Amino acid sequence: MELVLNLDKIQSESVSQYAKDILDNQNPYKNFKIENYKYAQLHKDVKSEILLRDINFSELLDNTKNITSSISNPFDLTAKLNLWNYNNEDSFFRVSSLVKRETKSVNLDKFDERNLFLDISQINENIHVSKSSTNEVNLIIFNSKSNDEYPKSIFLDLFNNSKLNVVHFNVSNNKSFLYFETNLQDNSYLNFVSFQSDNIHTRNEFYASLNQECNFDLYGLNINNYGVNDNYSFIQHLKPSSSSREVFKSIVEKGAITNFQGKIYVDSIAQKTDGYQMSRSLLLDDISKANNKPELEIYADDVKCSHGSTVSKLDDEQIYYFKSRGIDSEIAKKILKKAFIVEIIESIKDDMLKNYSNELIESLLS
Amino acid sequence: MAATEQTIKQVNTLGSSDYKYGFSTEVDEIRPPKGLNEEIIKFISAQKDEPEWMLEWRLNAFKVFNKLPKPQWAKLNIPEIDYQDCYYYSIPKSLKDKPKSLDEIDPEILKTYEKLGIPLKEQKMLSGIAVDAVFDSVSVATTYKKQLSDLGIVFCSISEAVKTHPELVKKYLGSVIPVSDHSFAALNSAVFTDGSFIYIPEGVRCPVELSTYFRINAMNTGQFERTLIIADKDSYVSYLEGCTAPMRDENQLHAANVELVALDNAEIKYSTVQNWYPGDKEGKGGIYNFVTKRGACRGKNSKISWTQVETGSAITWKYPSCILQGDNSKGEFYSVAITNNMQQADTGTKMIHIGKNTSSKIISKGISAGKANNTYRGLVNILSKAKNARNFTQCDSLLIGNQCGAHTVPYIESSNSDSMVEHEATTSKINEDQLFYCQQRGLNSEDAVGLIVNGFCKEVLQNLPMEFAVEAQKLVAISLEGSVG
Amino acid sequence: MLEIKNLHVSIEEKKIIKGLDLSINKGEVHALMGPNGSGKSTLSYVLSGKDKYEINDGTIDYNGKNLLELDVDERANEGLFLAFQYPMEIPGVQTSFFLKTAINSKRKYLGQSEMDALEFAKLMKSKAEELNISTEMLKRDLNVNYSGGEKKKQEILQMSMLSPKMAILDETDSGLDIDALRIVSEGVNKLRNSDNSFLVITHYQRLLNYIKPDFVHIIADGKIVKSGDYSLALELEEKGYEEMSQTA
Repeated sequence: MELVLNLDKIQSESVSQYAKDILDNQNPYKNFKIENYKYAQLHKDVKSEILLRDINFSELLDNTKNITSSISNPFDLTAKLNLWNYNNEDSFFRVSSLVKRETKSVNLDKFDERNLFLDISQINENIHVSKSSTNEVNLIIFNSKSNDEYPKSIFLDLFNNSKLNVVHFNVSNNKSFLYFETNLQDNSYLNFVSFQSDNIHTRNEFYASLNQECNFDLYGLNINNYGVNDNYSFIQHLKPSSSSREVFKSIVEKGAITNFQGKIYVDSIAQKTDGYQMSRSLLLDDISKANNKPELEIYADDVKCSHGSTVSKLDDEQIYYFKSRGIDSEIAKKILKKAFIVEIIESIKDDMLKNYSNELIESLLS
Repeated sequence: MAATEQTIKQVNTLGSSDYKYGFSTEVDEIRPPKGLNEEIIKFISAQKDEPEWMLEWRLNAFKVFNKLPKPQWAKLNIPEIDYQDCYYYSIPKSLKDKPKSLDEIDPEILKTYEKLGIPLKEQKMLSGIAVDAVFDSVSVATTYKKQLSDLGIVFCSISEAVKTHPELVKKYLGSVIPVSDHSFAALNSAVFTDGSFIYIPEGVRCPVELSTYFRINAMNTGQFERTLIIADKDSYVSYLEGCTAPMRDENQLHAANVELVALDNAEIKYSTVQNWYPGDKEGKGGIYNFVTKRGACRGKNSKISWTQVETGSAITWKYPSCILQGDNSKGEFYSVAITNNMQQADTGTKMIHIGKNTSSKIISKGISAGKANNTYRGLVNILSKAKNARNFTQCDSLLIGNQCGAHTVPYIESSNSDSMVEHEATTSKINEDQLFYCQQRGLNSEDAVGLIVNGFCKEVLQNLPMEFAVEAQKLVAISLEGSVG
Repeated sequence: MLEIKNLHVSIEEKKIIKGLDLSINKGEVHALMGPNGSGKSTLSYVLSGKDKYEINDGTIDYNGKNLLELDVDERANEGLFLAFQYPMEIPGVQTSFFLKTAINSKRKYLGQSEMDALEFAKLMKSKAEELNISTEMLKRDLNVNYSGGEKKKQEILQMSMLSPKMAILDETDSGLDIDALRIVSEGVNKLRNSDNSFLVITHYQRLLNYIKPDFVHIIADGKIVKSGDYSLALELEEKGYEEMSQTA
């Protein structure tokens, strides 16, 4: 399928109109028989009666350094965009002219603080973040404006031996599109945890290129969402001896549609790759839908790659066991839901952030 | 590229002087000109002496075909096929075009036969010396003809069934695979030439395995095979399909449609061992195997089980599927797909859960060697009324060498909260410790690979009927020859 | 305490229990013995209130209440405890958290306030020690990656913490080595008093060497075919189920 991009057409303030144009005219996904038929459409108007909960991040912000305004250096993305030579038709961002936006950059090495936060609601350019230092830093990313419908993109460069933990809060957004791309240089490490809750119409894309001996963990949580919620990931192992671990958990109910697509790609020279991917959904009613498409595309033989995917309801036998110990079924269900997702919370490296997230999830679940 | 060119070349060697006469009247020498159009379809229908309704059906399918684009979802590199450059009907080559003795046959093919343990007489038959007898898909049935007809079982060619059982054909043909499903299905519906028809009456358990074997050879009949199997209430049938006849140098399109219908409490077991000519090491020649196989579990407690061993063909595009309509119905798919050298395979299944308490099981083993690419692609779809549906899927891929690719693309869709879908997949290389162990015990590397891969595939192979299982095991080993240094 | 009359139970239209009568008084320990498929485990599930079982006929009175009208958790909070033959693995739920939730559910049911954290920790620690369960284990997910013996000990720990009035032990001895069997039995014996009752379901007489029953019943094909005192178990061990069912 040939997809022609008209890169000159875009003006930053008419993104959605442009997106509408390409999606209407050239969108390869419109044909339901073609691969990415579960695409949450960029141009869809989200008019909802649902009143989104107001999530207060102030406690988190008090203990962290706001770097939002520091993202200011101009950056040329061209080389980066050319680097990714694989067919990128699966990405809303890549097929749209958003790629031609201006890009602003920041280097995390210049901050002394361990915990940094970035409010992407205030940035309508492409965001480029780099890091070369080996000290472990936690970067919190969120969009504070629930009605900000502007598609966002973050490019992250981790240079040799650098380490970073990212916690992404995609909470109470009416319509949000995030494209996230990272390039992990040799021996670098990235732990990325994405919490997605109380949103109406979202798509998050995670692209990662792994070089030698690096390590990428991607954890995602999708609860309490309404409408269509997509997660798309593409992890490419380009050099030997890297490992990636991806775990997505979704609790789907009240008419929501959750789509997970994830691909592990292993180049023929990327021997000794260790790739793991797991997507699990709890489907709690019959008006909701859980779609999963985990993919392995492997060209090297000395690798260990696996994926798994499950869709089920809460286990009746487990609920029975709780009840046989006197715990009523509502409490049992809540505990089991929490148990289902606790792995995601546990994957956060920083204790303060872990505790914060735990409390947030507790409150979101009730 | 090659596909049509080579087809033309091949056909030309058959003697182009035959063609200029067009629709000649001499039956034995009739071969319509190449090209796909209504005239050709009318010609095919007339040759088969078909009733008017069958011709109408074909012509309608042709109209649909013209509107449909080629399916795009597979991860395959399929050369553009010029349908106007193909022949759609030709009678068997006359004897003078066939090899006259074993000496004229490619020694590589003979070696393969020896390894398969096929006796000399059959080697001759396979090699095209006495093919006509084997070509006849009814011949296998004739052995048991009396026994079968006493039970009311119908087993004949689809062309015959059109005439003898029009009510069944009318009712079920195209009812599982709609003509408009995709372009290959529509093409087959327009120009299908041969295939089996089976009807098992209510309450009958077919006492023998029905099979068509060595049916298709060379360029002749059967590129557009059409099979229809109907198992009436409380019946059972096991059907085997062997495609072990290798081909020669040409690429050839084989677009088959197979439809199965199981009514209440009926069970159909369908096994395939496919070993079409895969092309040579450089990827020259080989079959394009574009097959649509689909079964409908219409009745309650019905069951359809697909087992396939796919080792041949240059390109395999095949998704034997089950539509689980009846409550408590079951679908199974067991598959071994081996690709070596330049072969490509994109194969898997679709399990559509519609009825309550439906269950499906998918076991897929993909082995890739040489420069081949092997993709598992499968859909599990639980519709919202399919209360208490269950699916379990296990897909394992094995890579031999680092120039090949192994891919897994499951689509898992669920709309029912009382259902459970589980999918697991792994990709790994052949276990070197196991290889070493076998070699230390004196096996050469090829035998060791064969042994280990057979172990890897065991769960699937053991679902084959006995006589096929043994052959399939040998095939598995042979298909991987030359894959390890 | 428990009065079962003419109980008939089926699952998916298959009759499992076919007219069972059993009466257990306060302070008594009853053993129910029978071969595989005789309906032993079904009875335990029916008593605990598991769905999928259809009660075709009969009554179960529990301390003056119609047991069949109570939901699973209500029965538990009324003091009925089932130690499962195959305890459930619950990934993601810490054992200690589960215990705390269970205890507080019961207290809430009884109109009591929640147990404070310290008191709970003390209680859990002392009960765990009695059963030779390490505190490390209580931090792990409930029954996940526990050995068979550890799971059974965990069941007894839950029982001792919830101090039930009527405890049903469903093949608690299966899969236990001799040391674990002794520890588990001691746990049970410690709980025995004049206010509570036990129904010990087992295939083998072995467990009854440790937990001495007041009454022994033999169940076969969904009915109690013979009842007696402890000596019946010994007789059974000698003669086997087949002969005993026939002589009945």
